[in-house]
Amino acid sequence: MRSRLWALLASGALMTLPAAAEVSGTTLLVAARALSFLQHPLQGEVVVGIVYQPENSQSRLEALQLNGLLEDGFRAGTLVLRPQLIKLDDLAGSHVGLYFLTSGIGNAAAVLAQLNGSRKIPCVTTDIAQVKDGNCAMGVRAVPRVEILVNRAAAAASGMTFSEAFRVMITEL
Amino acid sequence: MPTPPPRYPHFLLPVALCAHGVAQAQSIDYGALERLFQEPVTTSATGSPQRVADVPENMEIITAEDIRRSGAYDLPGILRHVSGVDFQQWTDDQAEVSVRGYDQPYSQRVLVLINGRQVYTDDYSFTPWSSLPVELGAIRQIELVKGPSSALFGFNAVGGVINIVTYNPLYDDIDAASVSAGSQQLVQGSAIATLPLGQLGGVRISGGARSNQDFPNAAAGAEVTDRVNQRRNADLDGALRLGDSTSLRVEASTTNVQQNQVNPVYQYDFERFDTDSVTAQLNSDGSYGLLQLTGYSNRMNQSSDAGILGLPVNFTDRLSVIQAEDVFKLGANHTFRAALEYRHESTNTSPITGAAIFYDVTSASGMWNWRLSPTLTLTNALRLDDLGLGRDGSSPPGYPFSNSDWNRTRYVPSYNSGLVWRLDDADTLRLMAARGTLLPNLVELGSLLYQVPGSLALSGTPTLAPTVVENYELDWDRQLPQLRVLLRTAIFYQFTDNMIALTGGFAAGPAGVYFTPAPIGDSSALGTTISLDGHLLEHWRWGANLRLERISESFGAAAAAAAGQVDPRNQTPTRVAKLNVGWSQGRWESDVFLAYQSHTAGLNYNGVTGTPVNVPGYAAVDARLACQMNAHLTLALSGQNLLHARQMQTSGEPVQRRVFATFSAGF
Repeated sequence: MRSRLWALLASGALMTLPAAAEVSGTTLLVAARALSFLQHPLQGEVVVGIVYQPENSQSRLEALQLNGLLEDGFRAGTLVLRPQLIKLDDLAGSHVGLYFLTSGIGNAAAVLAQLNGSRKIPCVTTDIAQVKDGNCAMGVRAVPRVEILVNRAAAAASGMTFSEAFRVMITEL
Repeated sequence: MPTPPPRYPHFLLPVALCAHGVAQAQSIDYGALERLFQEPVTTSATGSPQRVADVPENMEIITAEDIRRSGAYDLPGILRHVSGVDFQQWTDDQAEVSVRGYDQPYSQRVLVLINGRQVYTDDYSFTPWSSLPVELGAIRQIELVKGPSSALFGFNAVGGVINIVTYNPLYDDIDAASVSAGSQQLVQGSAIATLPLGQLGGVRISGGARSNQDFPNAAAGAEVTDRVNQRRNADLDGALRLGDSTSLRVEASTTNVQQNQVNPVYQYDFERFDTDSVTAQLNSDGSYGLLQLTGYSNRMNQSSDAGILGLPVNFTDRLSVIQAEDVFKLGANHTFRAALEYRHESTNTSPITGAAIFYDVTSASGMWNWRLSPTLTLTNALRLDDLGLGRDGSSPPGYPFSNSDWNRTRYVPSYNSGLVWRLDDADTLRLMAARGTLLPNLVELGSLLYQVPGSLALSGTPTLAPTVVENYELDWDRQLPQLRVLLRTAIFYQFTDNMIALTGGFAAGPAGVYFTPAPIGDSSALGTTISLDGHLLEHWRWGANLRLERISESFGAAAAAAAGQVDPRNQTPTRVAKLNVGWSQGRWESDVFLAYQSHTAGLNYNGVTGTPVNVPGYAAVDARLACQMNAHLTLALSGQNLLHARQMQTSGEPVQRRVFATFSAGF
């Protein structure tokens, strides 16, 4: 109950993202930079699994935006992110180094958390509700102020351990 | 000062680009955290890394861009443009800086550090800015905390703290050089070179030299002002990566300075400062938290011809410090800092030698940052210092004290408490309370020792109690994104208990009466500040700030005996306003800074005694115009105090207009 209250407050603090969040290059850069504070950061070329629901227009739109941003390789220092669109129903067969969970999928995204319990693949989203629900470990927002929200239980489940310098500067659940 | 999004001078671009890479999670990488959060990051508020917008302090971050565009050639010249900073230019190279008033020659109330190492000297409790072993081009940012911060930094952080953070050779590859020349026969050179050692780490070496002629000075006479001010310094800073999460940083520095000074009793003098320091710091980031072990040793020799009341003095101040701290997070909402520190400080007696005054301080401190809700954070920090004072060595015949009089122990608590409430994305409220302690300096505690049998005798005294400063403050910050403006307001009340003057007391002994320092009474300050910082169109940035402050004094008879040396009510301007406008486009940068302060008062030493002097309010303008000639070379013209050829700004000699050109190269 207490954790749910916190999650509710945190989502309020992060100024709940618009229903159809537009993912910008800045958001992606914040996500990539935040991942650099993993104790074992991603390096080199990493395939980003863009998880979406084709029948959900918000999710599909964000997936297309992300795919457009990543299709030529998105560079953040030595990290190069390349996209792979993954339908939520096809998650089991995917092989990627990072999940980007699109917005608006709702409770259906729980399948990602269940799957990731064994795969230990980092997950990032702009859908703060998914972080609150533990379906994705890290939520990011770039404007008007950079905010990073990490669900500690989800992070632990997906093998994401951050440096202490990073932890003390972000919001955790 | 504005805190704009990170922008890099052209010669730092390679650094910025390569640092945009993935930051290995090690000790604090300011650059990586700043790029992530799109705002400056600091550890100077609580000891824990924080975004500057979240700190439970009233704080200013002066960025590398601010430093470059200030047009200044030294640190006080940069700080004079900052909101809330008091600035007094006494000689060409001696400027005194304080925060929220109480400025004076040998300003005592602001603790100054470089990367956390104290460069404030404890002999007279002040910062001889020219002796700081740092080149402006090696500075990442200057962190200015307004108000007491003794719970983190210990003694003497009562008016504020200035922590100068340099680039870390582990992460930052800085290569730059500059030469300046101008009026007052100014010649200055500076060079910084970094040798990256790949995954092993990096080494940076920097150094500089400066020479200039002081202002004409009728009071001091040609024997002082005809001598040339000189400064030389060198610094070696190396960082070694010991593992994925551990690094070792070792730094050694030396400076040699000689310059005209005005001392605490307003007497002109020609002084020499020789400093050496060695620092080692181990940083580790792991499941145990952010662990930091630091040890450093400072030596500073300060000698003067005329010294105090015409007597030559020669003090060697030695400071050794060992610190251990851990910052860690428990659960999602509680960040803690636990620290232990030991320091040994000593200064010899002078002009009569043969003894030393020393103290040992063992300290324990803690900080608890509690995120009460995602928008409300409460931070409490507490520190307890256990100080043991002592004296060893000989005493002159008939001295009114014995060494055992110095065997005293003091337990001194200090605290900082701050509530930060982020009302929404635009508004932040801060409510703060703090208690800091200013220790009597070693000169006041007995290092100053002089006796002419049957005539004048001077001594410090072991009985002085610390000065305690309490500060209560309410701040409100508001972002105005449509206007690209940040509005910051503050109202503060500060009470200072047990102020000390260098003279005003007496101690009778078999050989006669010694003049000693004395507690003179209490003081309180009530003030408010309002500042606006913003950007306009594509190429303009601007800032405006106003501070109103009224200081009252409750002084006893000893204050009269101290002859007005300490008089913050009259020495602090009630109104200070600053304005800056900057423009940059293509290869060009231009900045203008206007400062106004209302009238003050001080003393003018005529060789025998101090005479009260009223200083009218004044306005001063600094400016810089720079042209980037190519990818590596920049030519800049700078001016300070441009409105008048000579202008009275203190009770000392008028300052002169200064103009100079700087040719800089970066790679």
